[in-house]
Amino acid sequence: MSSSISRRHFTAGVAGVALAAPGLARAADYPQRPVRIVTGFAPGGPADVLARVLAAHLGEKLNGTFIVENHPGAGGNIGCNFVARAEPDGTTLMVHTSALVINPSLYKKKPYDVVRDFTPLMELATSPNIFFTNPQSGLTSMADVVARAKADPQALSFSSAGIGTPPHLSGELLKLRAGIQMVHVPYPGGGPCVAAVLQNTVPLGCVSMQATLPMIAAGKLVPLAVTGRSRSPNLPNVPTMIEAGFPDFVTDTFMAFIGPAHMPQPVVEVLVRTTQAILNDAQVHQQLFTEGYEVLAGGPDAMAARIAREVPMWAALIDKAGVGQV
Amino acid sequence: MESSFAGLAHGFEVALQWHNLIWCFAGVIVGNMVGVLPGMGVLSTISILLPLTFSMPPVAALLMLSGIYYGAQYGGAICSILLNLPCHPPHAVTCLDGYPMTKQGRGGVALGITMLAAMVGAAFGIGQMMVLAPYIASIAFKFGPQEICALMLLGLLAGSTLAKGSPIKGVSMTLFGILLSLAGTDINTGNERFTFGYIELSDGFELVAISLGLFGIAEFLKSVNSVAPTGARSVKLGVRDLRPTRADLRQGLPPILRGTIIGSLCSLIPGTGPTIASFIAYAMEKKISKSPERFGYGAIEGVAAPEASTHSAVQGDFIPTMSLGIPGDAVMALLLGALMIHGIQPGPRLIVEQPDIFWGLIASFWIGNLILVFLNVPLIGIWVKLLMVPYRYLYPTALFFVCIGVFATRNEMFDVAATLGFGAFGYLLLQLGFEPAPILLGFVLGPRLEENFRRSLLLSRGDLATFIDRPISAVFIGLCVLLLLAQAFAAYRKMRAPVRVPMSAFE
Repeated sequence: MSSSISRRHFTAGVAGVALAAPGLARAADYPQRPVRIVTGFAPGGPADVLARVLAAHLGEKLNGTFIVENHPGAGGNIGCNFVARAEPDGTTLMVHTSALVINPSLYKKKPYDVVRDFTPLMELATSPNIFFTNPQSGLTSMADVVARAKADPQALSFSSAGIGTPPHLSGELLKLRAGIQMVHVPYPGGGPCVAAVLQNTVPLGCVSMQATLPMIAAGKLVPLAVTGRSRSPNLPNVPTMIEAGFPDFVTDTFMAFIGPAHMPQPVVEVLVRTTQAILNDAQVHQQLFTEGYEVLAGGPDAMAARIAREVPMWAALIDKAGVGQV
Repeated sequence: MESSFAGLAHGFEVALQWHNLIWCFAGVIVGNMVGVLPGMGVLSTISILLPLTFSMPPVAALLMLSGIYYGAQYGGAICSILLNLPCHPPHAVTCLDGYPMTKQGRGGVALGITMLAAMVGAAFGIGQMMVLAPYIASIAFKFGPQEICALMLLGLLAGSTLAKGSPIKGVSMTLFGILLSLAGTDINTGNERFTFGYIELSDGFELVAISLGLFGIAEFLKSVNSVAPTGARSVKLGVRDLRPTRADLRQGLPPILRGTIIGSLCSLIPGTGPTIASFIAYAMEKKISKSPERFGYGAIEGVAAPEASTHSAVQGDFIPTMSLGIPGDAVMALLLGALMIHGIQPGPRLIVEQPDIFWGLIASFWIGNLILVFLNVPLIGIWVKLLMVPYRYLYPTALFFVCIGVFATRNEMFDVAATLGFGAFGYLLLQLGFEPAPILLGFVLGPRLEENFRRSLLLSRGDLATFIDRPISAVFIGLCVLLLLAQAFAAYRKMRAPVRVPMSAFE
């Protein structure tokens, strides 16, 4: 397709305009026009809900109109392409997930260049992935999982929320690090994946933590380990993968706030300042905690650092685990 | 049981509180309107209204948002029956006999029977939620991938002859529907299939685009040619009867009950929502009918069964969401999200910890459905008058709304073009005597069949015996075999002694 070429031209052109007229975008005027916050997924998912929470608060605080626009498809790439091509005047923003840094390595045809095509705004929140099992499986720890898989390489399957999602890749990382075999059974999303373990169709599951919390509280699912750097406040008794004997086994599903490349600095500053205030509001904090998210509220530098760190990390994992590029 | 009624009593106390009642009312009204508008999805409506609920108490928020979902089902049948426009996917199958009824001047009767079906279906669905919610896990969890796969196979076999006309054409259309559903990303490998480089196809075609195109647009293209250029008021659509007669009711009630049961069963099986339920209900009704040849020419059973099934599936949809915290579809995921924003985690402990939410919701279902019936029954007369609007105003307006609705599902112009493409294709099919309905059946059931078939084999490490090792799946497979044998036997007998096809088949 010719779109990548035209996008490059377009971005370059827009960059020129933005550089030539930085004074036009004054922070006090923002937003003069309605702002759309794009998400790359259908309504109802975590990115969509977070975008709507953010849009409501931003609209109130900045006295403007912020609407959420869903551009689902191609694992979020359609939304990303849309934003990458939009004018970087602050009227098009995006709330996106870890797919932002995974997809460039997952797709044969590179969908976008994370660094060149986007302005990082905020690292909003993060949720660890969790390995969990059905009480009937007899597995009680990660050591059990490894032992059983070593005893019989055909014994274990694990379910995930889909090909190329952080939970799937976490399972692949486990296989690599522990040197074990497991069959990956992908499900369309976190809910069906949890249901499969609940009904004991699949013995082991890995999803973003939130989806399992009610069933763990009710004793219908057994948490084995979380993949955060430290334990989750939602599940203080569950060990991390590091504690379970896998040093540096840290993966999470994060939420990013980005815009098209070359956004004017004053607009970035207003957005970052306001969003930080929103995220540090006690009520929003509590909402995100209930959904299994830990608020990060990191600014553009933190977001850029994460992109720089995670793009090569996932690329190496996808390559080593032999996850076929799609 | 007793605790259910105590809970329900508490629920009514909650739901009848003034502000909750108002929000419930607002929800069902908005839902009803959304249902009537072509393509305008429940999902987008709920997500647009979600921020409004941030400042509302959680009970009121949930009552309103759920009201939109089941309210939309009441509106959904109206355009299907009167204009052959399936504004809302679960009601696509209602077009098959609903629209022929309208052409016979019995649109009012069809709408009346729809209301009755809605009432019965919803009441059963809610009752099921009251009684079964605590035990639901054990029932739903008998359905693993093997069972779902076998059930989908049964549905496809039973349903491939669901349209009128030649069975071979029906089967080929079903296969074509399955073929269409292959476009998009393969869930097991992540590879794109049949997308021909169009990124817009990476998640496949939109169900709304296909159903509105094949039914609504194709019908428009067909009738626009047959309308006399001058003085054409309505498209020969008279309004003879407004109310179902006693005979209509007698004929419609058993299908309503059967449809209700199918709908409630479907709602318990993970990932099998109202759309699948309505197709299975229709297919089954035609299969067991003594006069299947009437289907597709305005058989009242063909309206009653799928409508009842849709409504009971919609209410049943709430069960796994509320009692397990596992959303059955995207709408339920959104409702779950709305609750979590208020710090409430649905799950097995919801009934005990948040009786206001659980029982308040159930009580509001009763109230909301009652409001909808009282609202819609008097409106039937007005809806039917819609047909008196001159063709040259009515259809362009409808087309306009179709375009907006289809665009709004994903904010993609591609889908609007796809709808028009399917419309032209559907017109061609109609001219050649192919019925488009089995395409939808294949499109809806096919992916679930493939997904679960491959999942079963992944889990059994490639052993096909897994489908007959498990009792429920074995029963379904057995039924499939019986169905094929019966078909083969019928074909054999027909070959030996050709049966006269009733005249109605040539209308």
